[in-house]
Amino acid sequence: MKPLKYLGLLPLALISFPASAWDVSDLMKTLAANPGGKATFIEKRQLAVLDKPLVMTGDLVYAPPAYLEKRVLTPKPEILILDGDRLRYEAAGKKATININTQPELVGFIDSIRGTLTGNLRKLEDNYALTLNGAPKRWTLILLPNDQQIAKYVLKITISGHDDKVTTIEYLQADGDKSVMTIQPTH
Amino acid sequence: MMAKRLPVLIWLCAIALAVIAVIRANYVADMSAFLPANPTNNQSILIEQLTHGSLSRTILIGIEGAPSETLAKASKELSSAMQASQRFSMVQNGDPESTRKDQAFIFNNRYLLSPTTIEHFTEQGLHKAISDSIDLLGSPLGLMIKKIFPKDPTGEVLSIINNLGFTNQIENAHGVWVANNAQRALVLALTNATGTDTDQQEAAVHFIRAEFERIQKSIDANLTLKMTGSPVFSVNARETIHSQVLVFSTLGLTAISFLFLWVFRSFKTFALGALPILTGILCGITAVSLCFDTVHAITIGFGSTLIGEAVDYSIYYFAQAQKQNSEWKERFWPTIRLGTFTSIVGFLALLTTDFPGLAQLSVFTIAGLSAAVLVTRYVLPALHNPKLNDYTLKAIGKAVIRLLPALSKLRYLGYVFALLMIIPFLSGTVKWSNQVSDLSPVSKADKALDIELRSDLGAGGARHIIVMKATSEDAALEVSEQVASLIAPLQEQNLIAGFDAPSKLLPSLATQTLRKRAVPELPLLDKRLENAIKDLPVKRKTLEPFVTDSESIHDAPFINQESFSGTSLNEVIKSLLYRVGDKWVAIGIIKDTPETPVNPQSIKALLEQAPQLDAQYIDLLNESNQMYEQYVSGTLNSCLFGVVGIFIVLSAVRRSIPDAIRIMAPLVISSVVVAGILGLSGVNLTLLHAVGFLLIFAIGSNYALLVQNHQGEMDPITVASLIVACFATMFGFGVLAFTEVPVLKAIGQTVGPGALLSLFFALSMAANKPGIKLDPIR
Repeated sequence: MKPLKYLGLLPLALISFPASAWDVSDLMKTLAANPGGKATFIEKRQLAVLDKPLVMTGDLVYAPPAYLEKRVLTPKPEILILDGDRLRYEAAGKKATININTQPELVGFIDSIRGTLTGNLRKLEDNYALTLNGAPKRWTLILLPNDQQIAKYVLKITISGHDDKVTTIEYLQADGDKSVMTIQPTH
Repeated sequence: MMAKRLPVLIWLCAIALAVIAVIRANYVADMSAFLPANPTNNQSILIEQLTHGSLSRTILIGIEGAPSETLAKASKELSSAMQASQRFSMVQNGDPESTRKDQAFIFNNRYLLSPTTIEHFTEQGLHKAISDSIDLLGSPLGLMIKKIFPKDPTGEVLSIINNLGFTNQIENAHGVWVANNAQRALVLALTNATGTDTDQQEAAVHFIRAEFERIQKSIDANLTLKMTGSPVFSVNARETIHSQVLVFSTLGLTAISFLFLWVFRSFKTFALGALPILTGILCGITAVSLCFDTVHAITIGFGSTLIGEAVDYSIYYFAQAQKQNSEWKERFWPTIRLGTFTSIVGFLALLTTDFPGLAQLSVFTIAGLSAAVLVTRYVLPALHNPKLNDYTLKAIGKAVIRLLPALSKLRYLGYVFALLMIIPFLSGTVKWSNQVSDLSPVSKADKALDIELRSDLGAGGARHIIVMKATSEDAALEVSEQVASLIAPLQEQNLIAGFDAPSKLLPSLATQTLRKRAVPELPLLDKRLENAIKDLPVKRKTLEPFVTDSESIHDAPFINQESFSGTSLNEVIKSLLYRVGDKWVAIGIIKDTPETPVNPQSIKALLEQAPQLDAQYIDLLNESNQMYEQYVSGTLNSCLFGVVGIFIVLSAVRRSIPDAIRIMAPLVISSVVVAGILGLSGVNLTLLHAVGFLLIFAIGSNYALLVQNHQGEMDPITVASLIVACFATMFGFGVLAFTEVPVLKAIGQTVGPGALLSLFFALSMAANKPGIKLDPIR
């Protein structure tokens, strides 16, 4: 053993040290501890088939670990409730319940949200390559799908926030369409 | 000598002819034995559905026992083997490839199929439809409709899907339908063969089993196959009936054979004793095959029980004729002849029922018993030189006679018991079954599995239907359209869960023409579209594919039944729209869910608003239960007539009503006791129990007659012959109580104990009256 040989590794160790002070798993732990609650949102969707973005506003309710409700108030009332694997949809007096597992294109979206909100690192890493930028006070998590099935629909998901709060979710879809949701906690 | 051989010759010729008839007879094992021969209109619709409808051809398959990837692989292999076999008109397993054709068909014909085409192609209609679609783009549906938005901005595909009620989605994993958290892969298939062709359905079911075994070997030995549906059940039922009839008639025969050998101590006697029985069965089948087109398997099953009564004749003959033939002819033959005659009168009553199964039973029994008794009377004496070892017989006879005084006292206990048994009658514990399913040989576990698979596949049975008739296919579709629009408000008010009508899949020509005309030609369409999207966030250029597609409709052909070939919708439209005689029938199915149960009154009231339409609401379950009730009450009446007939014959022949009452009293008491015990043990009495009671009278009257006919002192040999005959009957019928075939079980559990009780009451009541009428019957 020649100790000298390992001296070259020292700078590497020094560089990686600060980064490991706060990483994805720390963020996940913080997020997992989020007790849930209510928020309002504004969502803007840019679709290739439309000239102007669609703008939707409404409320969000989150009760960990498996209940997420999105209540669109404008332009048309619509309720979406994700409870476990069931997705309930209500609009214009019509109700439908689907099991998300029957809709592979939805599973990708839903898992990205579910995984982030519940801080389920393993679930996120199953489907996405994760990159975390920033600091606990202002962070951005980038999800790039590595699952082919999801990649057919989603190019990139960018989630940003502070502490245990998610403030924006941005989807870039494979066909170029994009949606940005801005979330404002009500308490 | 010639005079003695003549009967044997005639008998041999008859046997030869009967064998030919039996070999050439056409045997069936389907449910038609229990379907009325002259159905009412509603019943014929029910029968059509039961025998030819898609229900009679649907097989539901679940594959379990392995991880979902393996299940998916097995599901795909099984489905493709089934598709390649030409035995199935449809095989679906949720493979996206197989639904692609359906989707393409709907998409390509969307303007002809959509109920909203007409309202969507005005200027306001376009505006409203497109703006609704834009709103939908923001919803979860948006992901799916985004791709087709430029071609279908008015959302016709969604209109069609809503209209057809295709909203229940079966879970999908690895490209196949699954349920139970992907622990079960699902396959749905329709056999080519209809419910009346059990042979071909059997071949289809066996094909699936064989293919599955192959897949098990090549993929995973832990895979298990769950299979239900009408074809599976009828194939299983036939196999059960075959094997059980074989097993239990062998058991019964073996027991009777041992009894015979023990009592008569001679193989020759044993062989001769079988002659009346075999002749009876052969002649029974022959008579049925001559009177009816087909012989029902269940008739043969019942035929083996005939052994129980026919064997009595041989026993009486061997036991009683052993001293001198002429004495038997004088003393016993008239009684036995009368006994047979009463049985025949009893069964004649069943001939009048409308149900082929019972009518065949009647013919079989009458012919079989007549043949058996004639062989006993004329053939056995010609063949047999009675030199019997009566050691066992005498021993039995003496033992029983010694017991008689005790038996005679015991009868009071019997009366008390019989009186007690009236309580279950009065309290309603003795129930007549009102469900056809009580006759069905399908096990409870299979029924439960069937319900489970059906709910997994969203393939509920069609119970509430509207039958619409017209003189042509297109006219039937027009009636279907008018009925659908009558029913539509009910669905809007959430009073029904949905209505499947053939016109929703295949609109009438008139409707297709109207829809085609509603789509304007180019300059006009362009103008309307431009105005419609003026204030909407969508460019005319984006919608170019829509304009092109809309214009192409003017060159496109109308759709008809043939347009569906290659899609899974083909089977749907075929099962909802078909020809019967010179009429076309359209079947509308009202969906029935626990949340929104169907209210027949509201449906009937709606249909009454349009008396000009030949449309009729039918509750198939109700109809089949009503049919069954009619069946039960018809059978009960026939059986009662039979019993009354026996009473009249006895009164007439004995020229004494009290005498007839004395003969029949033990039989009535036995029947009451048997019915009471069955009721108390929770058995719902079916019509086969009713037939069983008739048999108690038919067989028991022989005992009662022979007991009443004894002269002065009880003769040990006569008593012994009765005991042996009764035990033979017990063995022959009693074993059937242990089968899994409900119809045979019912007969077994009635006649087995009934025969024993009849003899007990007959003997004990007679023992009390030593000075009984002495003159022999003429």
